[in-house]
Amino acid sequence: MTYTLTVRSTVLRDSDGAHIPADLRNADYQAYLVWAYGRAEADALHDKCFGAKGDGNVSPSVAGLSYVNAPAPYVAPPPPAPSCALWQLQAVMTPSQWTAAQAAVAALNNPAVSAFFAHGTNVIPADSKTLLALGEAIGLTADQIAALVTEAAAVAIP
Amino acid sequence: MATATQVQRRRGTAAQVAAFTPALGEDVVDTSNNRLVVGDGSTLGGWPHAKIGDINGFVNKFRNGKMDVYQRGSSGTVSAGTTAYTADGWQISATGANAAWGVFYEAFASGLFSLANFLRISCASGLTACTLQQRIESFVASELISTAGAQPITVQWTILNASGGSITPQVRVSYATAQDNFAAVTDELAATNLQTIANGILATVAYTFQPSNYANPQNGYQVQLQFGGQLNAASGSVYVSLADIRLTPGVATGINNNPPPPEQRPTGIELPFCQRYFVSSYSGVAPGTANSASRDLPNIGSATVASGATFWFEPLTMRASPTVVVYSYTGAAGKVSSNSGSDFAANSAASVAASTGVFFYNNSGGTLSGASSFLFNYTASAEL
Repeated sequence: MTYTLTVRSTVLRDSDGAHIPADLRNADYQAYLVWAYGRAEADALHDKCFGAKGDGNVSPSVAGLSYVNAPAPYVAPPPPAPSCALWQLQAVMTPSQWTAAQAAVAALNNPAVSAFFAHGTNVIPADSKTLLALGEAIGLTADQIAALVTEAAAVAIP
Repeated sequence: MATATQVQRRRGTAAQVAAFTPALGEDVVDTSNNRLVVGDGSTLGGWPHAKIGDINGFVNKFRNGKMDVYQRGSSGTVSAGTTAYTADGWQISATGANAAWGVFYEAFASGLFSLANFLRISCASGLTACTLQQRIESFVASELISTAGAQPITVQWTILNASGGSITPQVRVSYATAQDNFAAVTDELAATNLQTIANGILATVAYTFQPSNYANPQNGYQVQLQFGGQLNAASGSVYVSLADIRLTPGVATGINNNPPPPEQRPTGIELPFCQRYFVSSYSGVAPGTANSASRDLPNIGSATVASGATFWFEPLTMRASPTVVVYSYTGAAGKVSSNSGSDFAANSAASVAASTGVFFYNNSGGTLSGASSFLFNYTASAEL
């Protein structure tokens, strides 16, 4: 069993993605405390809360305690791919690129894709497989597509 | 009272009455418990009658004793070497092989008649040990403490043995050494044989034990029905239901062939009791089932932990802040889906839980785009 810290007080259990709150009454948090700090420290925290003269604080601070097993630090997941509306994309592409893209759409001969690209307000993410395929057809790499979409997302009508 | 006539019945201590068979129609007095005991001429110990103080509901300290609540789904498998929840409140431990379980509404008429939901545990080759257990929260188990000191407690189950052979299950009762913390337990009643059930017979097994100290239940009880290796077979199964554990003052300890009728509470009462420990948005479908009706969480698109939404358990309050698992529309744990049903990255949504509700927030590190709302399911567990 391993765990990962989060930006909040909860702990992420890696095996099933469960978020475990810092609550001494929670059996999963009890198991985490034993794993992270050892049985003696876990029992001491429990007694401090529930003992005969316990303070009743079910979420005591663990600052200053030494790890027996250290949880992984919090790492934010990679942000989702940027996205933009088709009209924004057109605004940042050269006329020749846009013409080539339109031709590539037609060449796909896919009614759904054609219908999607017929409406400029439709939003498309940079990691869209269709967009990547169209980019490849007109000589753009995935990184170039992502850069174009990011630039396009900032375009606004004055 | 001057003209009254004093009448005294035959009488004796609880132990004396337990060893005596009152005649048909005779009432004797249990002087230990100030209780009338009616005889039928053949039952050892007679039939003890309740006092006013004994007549109340919720005497059964098990939850979901008749297996009516199964929020994790109506069937599943417990992997070898693990302990997992099945019907609400009931854990199965499997050793040597997986243990398949399911909840079935059955009318059995072999041995005795019963119409109820039963938890079926299937036999399996290599299943060298299999145990059904429930952990009873301290606040509930403490109601097994009598103001008169340590009093006998009776535990029972009704079992249909369809294993293909005779079985003799065992009962084991332990108490938590710290409040609601079952990482370490101490035996109140070591594993002890219950009645033997022949193959094909529906029977009640029951045992009455005396706590070694009246205060033992105050940290919580763990009650096990152990089948040992008796389900180690290629086919067959056992069906368990009508579980009951209660204070039974004056009842002799040991195997109990005449336990009180199990208290069966209505499902409408039992469900919120069970939801003190476990809540699922799946409504009886196994967590992680793909394409289940999902919750719709709006407006967590912006990339801040302050952007989210809270789902309240109202009117419920769980036992403690629960452990929460988020599932996407496709059933992947730790993810949420766009409103078109495709999954975002792992851990794209996270939660902070309290006993009254869960706050879900955008944990993607960026804007979750391409969706005006997010689909997900969740489970919240404050089990023991």
